[in-house]
Amino acid sequence: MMNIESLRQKLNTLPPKIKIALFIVWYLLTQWIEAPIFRRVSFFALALVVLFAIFPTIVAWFKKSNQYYSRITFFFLAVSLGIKLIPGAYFPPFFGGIAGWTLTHDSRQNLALSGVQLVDQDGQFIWYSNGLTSPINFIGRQISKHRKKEETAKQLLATYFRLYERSYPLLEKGYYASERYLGHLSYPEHNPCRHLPYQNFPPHRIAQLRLVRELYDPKTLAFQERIIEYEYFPKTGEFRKRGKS
Amino acid sequence: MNIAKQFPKMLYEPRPALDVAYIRILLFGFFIYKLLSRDFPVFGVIPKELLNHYPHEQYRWQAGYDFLGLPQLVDLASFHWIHWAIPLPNETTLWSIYFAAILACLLVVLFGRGPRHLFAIASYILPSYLWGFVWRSSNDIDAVFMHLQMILIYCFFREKEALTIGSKTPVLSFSAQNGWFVSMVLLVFCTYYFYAGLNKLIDISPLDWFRFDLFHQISDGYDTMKLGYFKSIMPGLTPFQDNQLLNMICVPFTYVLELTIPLMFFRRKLIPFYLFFFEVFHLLTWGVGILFLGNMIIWFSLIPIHRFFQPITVIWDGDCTFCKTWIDRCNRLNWLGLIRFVSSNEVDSLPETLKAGWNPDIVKVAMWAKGTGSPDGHQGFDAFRRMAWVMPALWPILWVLYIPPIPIVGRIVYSWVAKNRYRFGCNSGVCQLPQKT
Repeated sequence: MMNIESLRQKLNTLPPKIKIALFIVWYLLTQWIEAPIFRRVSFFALALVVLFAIFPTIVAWFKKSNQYYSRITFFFLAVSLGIKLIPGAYFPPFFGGIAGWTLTHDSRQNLALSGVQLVDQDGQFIWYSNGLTSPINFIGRQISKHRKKEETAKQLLATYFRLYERSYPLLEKGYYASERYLGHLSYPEHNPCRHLPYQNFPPHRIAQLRLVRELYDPKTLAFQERIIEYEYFPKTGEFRKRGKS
Repeated sequence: MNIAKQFPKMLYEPRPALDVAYIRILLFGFFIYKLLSRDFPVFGVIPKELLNHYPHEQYRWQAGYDFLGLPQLVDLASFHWIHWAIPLPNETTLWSIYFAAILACLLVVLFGRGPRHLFAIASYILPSYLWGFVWRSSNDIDAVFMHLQMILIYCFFREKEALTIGSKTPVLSFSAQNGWFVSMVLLVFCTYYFYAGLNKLIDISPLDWFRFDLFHQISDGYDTMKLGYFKSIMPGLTPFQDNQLLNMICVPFTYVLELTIPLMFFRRKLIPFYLFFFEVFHLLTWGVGILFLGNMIIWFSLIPIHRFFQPITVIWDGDCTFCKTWIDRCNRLNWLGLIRFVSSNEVDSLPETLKAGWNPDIVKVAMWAKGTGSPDGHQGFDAFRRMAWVMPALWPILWVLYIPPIPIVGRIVYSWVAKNRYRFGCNSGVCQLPQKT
């Protein structure tokens, strides 16, 4: 069995050119991996090899750094780096960093708006903003999770109406609940939202909340289609699953 | 660059107590601001089954993002483990916790860490607990992570603090321990952005860097606003809509910045460069409806605020009549009396501490400035810029002097003027061009 120490020495004595070449080969090979999780696992494995090679140096640095602050630094970097390296690790306030992602635009596709709408007795509607659920910012995430089951979808729409009623004394004056103290100088949402004319939609006039997806022509912005998934009628508590309209 | 040697040196680069105090006030002031702008008691209204959407549920496991954001771990980190035994709080209890969190942050702003670091620890636990509701519902996952990491580091800081009620610590007292705190804050930035940069190499390929249609998404965002949707997109970006060239330049450039950000730790002069570009980057992401205002605010913690108050010594070429004219002009703007102008002919009378790092060769090509107690001096354009910190008349343009590429242009122009002083009225022999032999 190969001695671990000699393996470490072999790794450390590799010429820099070989190390760089090995890294490039590794990187090119990972490009064939489709799922990011396996790329991250591959990176984790590479990092383990590097850490294995430099482990004595790290231990020596830790032993030498007997200062209080050096130890704190060591632990901070160890936790931060550890959570970065472990694929998918998440332990607030540490995480693996903002993920790499792409965002492509297809000009032929319809412009789609989706979410919850408040509809009044006259059929006028207004979008239900993420400002109404603050500090819950990604309202879409909540919707996409709970739309899967009718029961939770109903509970979601009922809760949204309750939050709307709760916020309405401020909405009436042109503020979200998160603007109770600082008004329009408040810290905006992570996904900033506009002030829509909610004062025209007092809770007693809300006939229904509906979960919809609207499609528009990408060039002319002409309305094309509305797909209503669920409807909730707050006055009666009635709830319906719908199709297209 | 030998990182192993350079790292401890930079980690303990001396900084004054004022810089630590400034970061403290900005950091905890930020939390007060954000808390006052969030309706946390709303979590007392939302049923648990609707609330719970832990990060591991958000993405497919194949995506590899946050799939270890398991309930147990998130609850541990956010102190929600307490709800393994007791039910989630109602609205009234949340109001109390909410105001306690604001109070804890306010106490830190006013009094510092407090006895046994109690104020600092409370300022970590209470906001973590409140944001725990946000994390357990997969919302703005990392928007306060850098800030909370900084609070965590602050909890371990144990030096005397300045700018607290009752404190007698001189604001300009430099120490390696203060330097450690500032460097740790810098490390928080470096790790946060560097990890994001690494992910751009791991999760996607460099070719994908050109597949992020930022400026097309801006157009879509404006269209949705026209249609009455609630989304708010940064105004003023209309001229850049659908600009493919900008997509190709801005996005990869940002990723390169993320990957190179550790340089900022070792070369502190690069801080303004990264600060400027990340401010711009975060503004642009508002174009796709994502605003990292917290990051934008906390970047300003890296401003060496002590420079506004620190006396400086400026050594200039005493034999140069052109320089004398300009030094006289600057002296007229020395309203705060913080600049001590010393001619190179009188430099011997200066204490060693004030001229450490200066040598007679410098004066032949540039003036030199150094803050009292600071480890490093500044030369040429940088010395002029250092003077601007303590010349109120130049404050309106001070920030402009740091915007890329002005420092590069400034150094070139300064150097050219210094070499051609004879053209600008210097009639002394030292300003003459060397004769060709």
